Amino acid sequence: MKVFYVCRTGYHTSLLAACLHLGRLNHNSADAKEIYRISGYDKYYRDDVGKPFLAGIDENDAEVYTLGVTGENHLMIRAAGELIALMGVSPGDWRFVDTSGISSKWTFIGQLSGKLHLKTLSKVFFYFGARKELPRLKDVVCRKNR
Amino acid sequence: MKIIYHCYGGAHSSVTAAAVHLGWLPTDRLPEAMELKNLPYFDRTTGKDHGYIRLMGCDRYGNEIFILGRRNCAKIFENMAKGLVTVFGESKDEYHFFDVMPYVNWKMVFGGFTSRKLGITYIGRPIILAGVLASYWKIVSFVQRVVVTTATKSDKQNNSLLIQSKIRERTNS
Repeated sequence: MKVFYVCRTGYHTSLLAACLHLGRLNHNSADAKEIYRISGYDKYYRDDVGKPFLAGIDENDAEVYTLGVTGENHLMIRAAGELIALMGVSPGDWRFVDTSGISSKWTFIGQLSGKLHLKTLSKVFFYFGARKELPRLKDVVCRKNR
Repeated sequence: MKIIYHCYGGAHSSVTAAAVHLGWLPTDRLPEAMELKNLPYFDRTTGKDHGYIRLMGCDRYGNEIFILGRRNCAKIFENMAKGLVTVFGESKDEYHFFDVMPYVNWKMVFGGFTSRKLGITYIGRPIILAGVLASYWKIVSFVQRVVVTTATKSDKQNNSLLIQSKIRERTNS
């Protein structure tokens, strides 16, 4: 089974969702150190957007990936589903979870700050964004795992 | 082998490239307007069709030719597609993705917008046809490069499979 969490970059909101899925984060409280200790968090390279990033394997041996698709989440999820169907993979063996709607404006401002090379400021915004998103992501991850 | 030609809307340049690849359009002269209009999906897709990979046909080597409209996500789509091929353990030589957007000119952009987005086909379609004919030879040479590249790759695959089967025969005998 392969689970793909999708967001704009693949290294922020979707990675938080993947870590919640894998049990590496507590949705109730996560400080900045815990968030920035996540492997791959905010390690966003523009040329790598779209490449699936393996976050880990859960207790049911499901591989958990993150995927960045910028603003075209519906389009890219549809294209990915079509491509996977072309490969002959059974529909029950993969799942896409779109976390783009849960991204907070703080995360978006952090991404803009990062583009302006204001790294320290972007880290602050990402932290505030993560704190806003974690409780909402917990609901999405739990619902999808049922 | 599966070959996917992709462009913005999956309605003009990718359809033309796929048709040239399949031999539905000539490579020694410019096509007539009716030949282009009669192509499946040519100037017929809408925004709702973006993201769907559609089969156009099989070429003479048995490769399946597909088209896709992916709006402005060329790089993202190729990264994602190549990544998914690896994730699902498929052979990288089995799937090839070709971006036809470098061969699109302003007439095709303007005509496509007028015809598909605004719905004014009687204005947009003649402009698209003029644009396709203006870029036609570039698309033909691009497709010919694709055919040679993919034929070479499939030859290499076939040769390695042949060598492996011969080795197996010798060890069994």
